[in-house]
Amino acid sequence: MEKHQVICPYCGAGCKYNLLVENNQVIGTEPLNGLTNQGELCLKGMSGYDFINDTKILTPRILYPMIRRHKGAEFERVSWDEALDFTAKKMLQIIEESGPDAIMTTGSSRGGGNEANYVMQKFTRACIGTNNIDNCARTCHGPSIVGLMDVLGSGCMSCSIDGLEDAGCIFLFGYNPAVSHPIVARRIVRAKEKGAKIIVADPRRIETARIADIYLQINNGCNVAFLNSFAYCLIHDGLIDERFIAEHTTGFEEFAQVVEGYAPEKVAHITGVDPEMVHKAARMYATAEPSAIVGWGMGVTQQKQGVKAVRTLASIACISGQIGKPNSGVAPVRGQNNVQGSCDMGMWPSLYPGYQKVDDPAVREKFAKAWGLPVEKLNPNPGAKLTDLVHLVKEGKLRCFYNYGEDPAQTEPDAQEMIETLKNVEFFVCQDIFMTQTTMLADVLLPATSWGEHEGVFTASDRNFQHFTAALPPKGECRHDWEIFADLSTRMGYPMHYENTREIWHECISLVDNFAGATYETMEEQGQAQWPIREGESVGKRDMYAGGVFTTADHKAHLHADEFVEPTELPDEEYPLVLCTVREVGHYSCRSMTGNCRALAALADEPGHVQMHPDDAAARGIKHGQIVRVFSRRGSVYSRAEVSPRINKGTVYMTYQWWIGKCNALTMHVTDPMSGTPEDKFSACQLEALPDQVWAENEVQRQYTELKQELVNNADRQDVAPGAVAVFDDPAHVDQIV
Amino acid sequence: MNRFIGINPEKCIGCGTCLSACSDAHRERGLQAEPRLALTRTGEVSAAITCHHCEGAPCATVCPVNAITHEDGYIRVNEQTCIGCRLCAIACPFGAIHPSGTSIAGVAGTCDPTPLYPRALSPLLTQAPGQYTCAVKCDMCAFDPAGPRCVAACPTAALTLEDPAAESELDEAKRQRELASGTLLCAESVFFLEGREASRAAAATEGRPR
Repeated sequence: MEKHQVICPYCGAGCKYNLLVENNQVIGTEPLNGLTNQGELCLKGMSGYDFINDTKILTPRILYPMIRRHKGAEFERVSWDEALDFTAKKMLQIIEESGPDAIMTTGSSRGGGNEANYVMQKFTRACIGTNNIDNCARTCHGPSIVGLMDVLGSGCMSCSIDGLEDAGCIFLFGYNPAVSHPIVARRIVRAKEKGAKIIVADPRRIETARIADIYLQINNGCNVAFLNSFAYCLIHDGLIDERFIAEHTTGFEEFAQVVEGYAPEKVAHITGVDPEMVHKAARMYATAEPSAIVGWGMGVTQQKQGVKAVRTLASIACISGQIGKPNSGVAPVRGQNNVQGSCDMGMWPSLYPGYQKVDDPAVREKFAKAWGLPVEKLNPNPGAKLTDLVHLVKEGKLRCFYNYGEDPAQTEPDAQEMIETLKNVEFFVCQDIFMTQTTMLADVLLPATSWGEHEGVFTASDRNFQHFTAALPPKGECRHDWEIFADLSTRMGYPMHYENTREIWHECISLVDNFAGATYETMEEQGQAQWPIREGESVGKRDMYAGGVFTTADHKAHLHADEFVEPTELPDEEYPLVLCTVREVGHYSCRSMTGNCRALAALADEPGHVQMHPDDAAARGIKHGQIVRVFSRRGSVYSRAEVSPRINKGTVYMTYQWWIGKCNALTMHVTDPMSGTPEDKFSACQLEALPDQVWAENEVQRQYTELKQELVNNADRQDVAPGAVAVFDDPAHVDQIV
Repeated sequence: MNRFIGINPEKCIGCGTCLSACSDAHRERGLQAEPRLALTRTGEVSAAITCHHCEGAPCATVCPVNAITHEDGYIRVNEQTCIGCRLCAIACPFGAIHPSGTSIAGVAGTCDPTPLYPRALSPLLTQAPGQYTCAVKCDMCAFDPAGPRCVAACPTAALTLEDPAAESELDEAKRQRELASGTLLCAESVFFLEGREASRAAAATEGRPR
């Protein structure tokens, strides 16, 4: 048996473990003593390896390149040369006719790794000549990046995951770590055991609320009003750090003016919490010794006022002086294993690697020089966002979408509209490891190696670069992501060649001062390298903003508060329930990976669950475990009722991992204008009991079987070798046999 | 007294890693891949629920084919001998044993079954034609010298292996006496332990008639 050290491909905790390999199959995992996981794993890390072996439980892997010669044609397996020449020719033609901005590409925040992303953005910027590149942070922590860069200067956690347990107080706001990051939740349990105070503000009684010292059951969609009232308490109860404010911040007067109108007593009808408890929570947070951390997740960011809430959260940390010291500050814990990394690598329409702005001439000068280009070739305008895709395609401005490792048909709001968009885009290239609802619509399908079949570097949520190795050789004709980009770029007239990921990584860190010390050697010696890490340093900074020195231009925090605005689609008579999308603990994102793992698929399967309060269930005659119909103005799906007293009345929660019980068929495409992040946490819906449960079970099974069969039929085309003519029996005869 | 899994809800985060570890461990041994623990989430409590390995195990008492036996400090189901009659599941006071079937349509996950009953129905009331069913429950992973896989896997150490036989303060003779007189039936039903101390305290109070 072989053992290969990897970093987990699921959440952003960055757990380290070995893949156990026998006869070219991964047969198990073995936790290692990584910085964050300390020899522990959650169920996804432990049992989430099967998909590499192409189990076909949910959907088959793609092992050979395929193209559609024209829209509507069947997939046809071709050689790599033909697939890449076909792609290059079509993309060059589009650039020629409509300019480089008619093309959009994505980064992958999953298994590909930082090197692949770096090469992808280089291909996009240097070869195509556009900044239309984005990654899935757009739909998750986009507001955290934008908001934190505004206030503190850097869009990342200011503390470390392992430091959570040494804080004096942890304030969790719209964040359910037990489900999103069990290994981070473990730190919170340990913090509690070490005497930390825990404050939880969440509409649902989540796991952490059970161990909280103060639990505030806030109303859905009240974030900015609540945070303003929290800040009001800090100011009026004498809990602010006046010296810190004077020396290290700007804009306090305006901040105080805005929150003045939000006394907890005055906004209790919006927030739904006892004003006295807000005062208590603010005191507990501000007076915590030695430090306090405020952590948040999608409950903050996937809202209409995502960026504004993030800015207020960061400002709260500043005015109470709970930042700029060890184990303090802000903890927007990232959802995907490398979403911090793809942001680090500049998979962002306005940022080069290392958060260097595309509209800064000096930055463009530096990259042009390093990439051997005239500076005019680099586009100075920030590009389009992933959530702009729908309207850009509709308006005919976007003709080519190069989708690298994302499944927007599952993960973006208003799925039906997204699927129409992907069908309508003139040239749709997908690079993935699985046949998914997205990749089956592609014009060109490029098979990449999976995590486990290549090496690279991931960035964990707390800025830690960690190296992972390959456990298996590539399957079929799969190629490494970076090889595909470099090859395509060469064919399109901008030659790129790399021998290995080390060469790519060292080019990347030579262009970013904050990453310069994170060489492969340092990572090997130290186990990880946490940025900011300057050249020659072997250990990075666990905590940022030491002594209140922020990374903004003037090194001060720019405090911001905003007026509260109600969510877009309020419940009404027809759709009286709020729909909020959440996460499944045993499945990941679009589920193509975890859905193909035996243990994980056995623990939770279609059509997922819709969580509701017992009163809401009783009012509709719904019993726990029954299949129900959930519908909104966008669509209608079946899901299984999960009736629980932990859920607040009037809101239902659906996890976005299910392909049949697909909550994104119900959500709406409305975004926070400041970050382009969809308002997935708030839309209106209604539930309906189904009297014939046996019919419902069969209907769900029918839909599921049909979808899986469609994916298999598309993937089957790769079994016909290029140029081979498939000879089938007379169809009538086949029908007879079947 | 038998070994059993101690469960501390104060530490449980309801992540289900124990379920996945259990499923893996048994599938690897060619046993049913069905997890032998269940997660319960009430308004206030999250905790795994599993077999208590009762000293006078009712499941073993009612089994018509003696597929359930008391072995080496735990209660074992022989999945090959079991005829799937479900009497044990009815007799179990904790719902810790239940039927699990393997469909001839394929192994778990890859088959496309035709549901004949609502999933919300108790597994005790359902059956599918052509499906081989046997009783599954916690076997303490007795096949593995490393001990129960769920205990090793729990990321917050909410699960512990409790081996009262190894604890000297227990009066073995007294325990045997009580067992003989029938006052000790489900003494190990000390679940929701709060650490080892609580476990000992609970163990010390055992023996009261039920």
